[in-house]
Amino acid sequence: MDGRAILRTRLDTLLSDLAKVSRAVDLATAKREHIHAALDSLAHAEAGVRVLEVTAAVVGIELGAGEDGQLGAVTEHRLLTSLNDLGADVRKVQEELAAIKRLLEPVRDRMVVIGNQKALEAALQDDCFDLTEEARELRELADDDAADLPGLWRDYLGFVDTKARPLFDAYVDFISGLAVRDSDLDGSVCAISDHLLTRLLGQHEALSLPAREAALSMHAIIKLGFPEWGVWSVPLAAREAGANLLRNAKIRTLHRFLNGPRGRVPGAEQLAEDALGAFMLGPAYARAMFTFRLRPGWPAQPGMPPDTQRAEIILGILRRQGDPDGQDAFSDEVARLSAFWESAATDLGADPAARLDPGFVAGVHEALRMGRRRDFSAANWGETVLWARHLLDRPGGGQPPELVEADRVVILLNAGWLARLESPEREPAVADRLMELIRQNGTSRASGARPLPPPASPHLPPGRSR
Amino acid sequence: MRAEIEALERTAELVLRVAGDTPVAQALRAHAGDLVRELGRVRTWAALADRRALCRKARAEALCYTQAVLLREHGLDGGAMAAAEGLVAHLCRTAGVPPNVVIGVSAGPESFTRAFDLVRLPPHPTVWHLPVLAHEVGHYVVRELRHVRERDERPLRELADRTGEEELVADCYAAYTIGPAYPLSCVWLRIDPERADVPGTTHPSWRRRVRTMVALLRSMTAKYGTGQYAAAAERMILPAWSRLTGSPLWPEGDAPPEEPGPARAILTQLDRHLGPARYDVGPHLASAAQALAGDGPPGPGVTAAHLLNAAWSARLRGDGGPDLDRRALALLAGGA
Repeated sequence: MDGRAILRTRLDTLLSDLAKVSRAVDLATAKREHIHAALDSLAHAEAGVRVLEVTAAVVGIELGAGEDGQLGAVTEHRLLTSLNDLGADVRKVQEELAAIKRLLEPVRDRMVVIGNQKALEAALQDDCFDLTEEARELRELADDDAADLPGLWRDYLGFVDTKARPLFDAYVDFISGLAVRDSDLDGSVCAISDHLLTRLLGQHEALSLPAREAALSMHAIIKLGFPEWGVWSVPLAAREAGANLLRNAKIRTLHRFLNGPRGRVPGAEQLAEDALGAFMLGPAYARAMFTFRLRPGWPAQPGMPPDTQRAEIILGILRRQGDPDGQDAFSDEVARLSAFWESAATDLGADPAARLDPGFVAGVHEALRMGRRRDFSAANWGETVLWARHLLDRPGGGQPPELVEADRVVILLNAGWLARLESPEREPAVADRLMELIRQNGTSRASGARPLPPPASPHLPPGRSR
Repeated sequence: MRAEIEALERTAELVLRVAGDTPVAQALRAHAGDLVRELGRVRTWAALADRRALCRKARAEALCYTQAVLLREHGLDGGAMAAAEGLVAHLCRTAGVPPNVVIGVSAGPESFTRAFDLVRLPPHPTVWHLPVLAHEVGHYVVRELRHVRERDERPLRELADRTGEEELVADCYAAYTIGPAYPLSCVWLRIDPERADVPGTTHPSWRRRVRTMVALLRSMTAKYGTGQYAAAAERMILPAWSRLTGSPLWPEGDAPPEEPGPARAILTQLDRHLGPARYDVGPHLASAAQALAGDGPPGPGVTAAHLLNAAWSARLRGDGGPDLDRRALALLAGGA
């Protein structure tokens, strides 16, 4: 008698758990497909009713013409009543369809676009499939009386720790993140973050999900850490987007630099993620990081370089983003940020002196510049200032400029932060307006290919100035 | 500090949205209020770091709970959360304590948190995993159970505090209320055979825990004159332990098998204050087994504990498949 039976039981349990993960992911997909299928059917029904409406109008005209009309004189009473009622019936159906649409539209708005979600689900299913195969092999070995039992136990325990548990972690975050997002408990901030990710990574390259801790998971899920589920924290997603770019070696120049002699500094990869965030998003990234994440003088977070170094590379990259002669307002903003950080560091007894090799900062910036990744430029700052005035309804601000679609979300996030700094007391109103403006983005991923309807308030339509 | 306070407010709001004005939402609001007051008294960075750790824990727990509610609402838990709630209701009812334990979801190990009386479970526990819930609820009962006469006293809490053995008290509570199903679940599904003798930072070694549970079952047989408890230990638990670890629970030369350790003192308290909660197989196991096999509803007197033990008996006979699991979860959810 040995522990083979117990090992078999545990492997059976593990296989059953993997099957449940797979089924639950399928269920989540099917649910979304039903919603989208229902909305598509609704669109078909609306089109059909419109045809009926036109037909009813024509019938009405012809009936009105009596014997001169194409229908001639209709005398059969029931037919006449039905034809006369046709218009009213069509209007009734239209009203009912509109009511159903009103119910479903908000759900669709919250639902992640299926194509993108499916890609991630497929990744999860692939992992699940691979692990199931591996667990089955172990299970078959457990049936073999000649197999080394202590060795099998070690393999099983190692498999659970290093492979199955991380998959279950990812699964719990994924499935519950979708549920939180679908229920709108994140206040639609993931939809806003998705707009930013589209700008930083491209369409359908990543998905924002609410989670406990901010992180990059399953290569393409940007987890927004609770309670940072607000528009002011959205810039923090840029860091996770940076991690995505780095881990997938999407910027070859940066990848080469980090693997070269000047790029080998402690915590180089994490510093490069911050550098990417600042490079792509501009001062808003620094504002969000300094407000929510970095603390001068505190011990480094696990697996991270000290916060002082992280602030240093963020500021270093932003300084290099402005005009080389410093003749633009962007350099003033970087100077303000720098003064803010130094003052906080001094207050907290931390040494704000530079600790990073300036050659490293310069090298990272040069690698990013050569990598042709779209950056936040000094030219964007001028638009940022005008949009900040617009957000605050400042008199004399004039009409904000039309924004290039690719820069829109980045400029609006920067404008939001600027407006918040100018009028902290109006922060809730600015946040609401900012959310609304970003959601008007024509590249909405929260609603798939269907752009959101224009808002009732007198804000700008997508990508156009008044 | 302001960021922490805002985060706590958002946490309370989140739970309020999913749980309404329920005891868990009230507990969370009270806890958040305490933390906000403590934050207001913070004067040093070290104290802030300390409070921040508590705030982070509170947020994580609130989110665990929210996720469990949503997974259930969206039908993604396979009915496991309702079954867990059914078992919790049974345990609280028989212990005579308020049924305020809530279920959260986590991929990590099961655990209990006092701040909201939250038990963390994996998202798809089977009926064979659920006995661990009794151990976690045991931590709740330790704090809530009142003295049978001196109602202001908390006898189990006093025992746990005095001996520093709360984990063993919770183990014994689980074995006392749901019988052999709990130690069986530990040996068959949870214990790492290579670490059976290694104590954790918060828990005694598994060998010590299983020894205490076996000693409790033997003491119960001696006390009530029924062989059901000791027989389960001799026939199912001890052989499984030996198979798992390759050595007997009490190797030769170690403490004598009749040495009860802390089990006797714990049993005395459980018997005095928690008597109606004791698991008694009675005539109900066959009825529970029939119900699990799909042969009609369980007869009167069949409890959640009988279902768990019948499920384990079926499993040890090689009859435990997904259909039985589904039926068992449904019956537990239905309040059997």
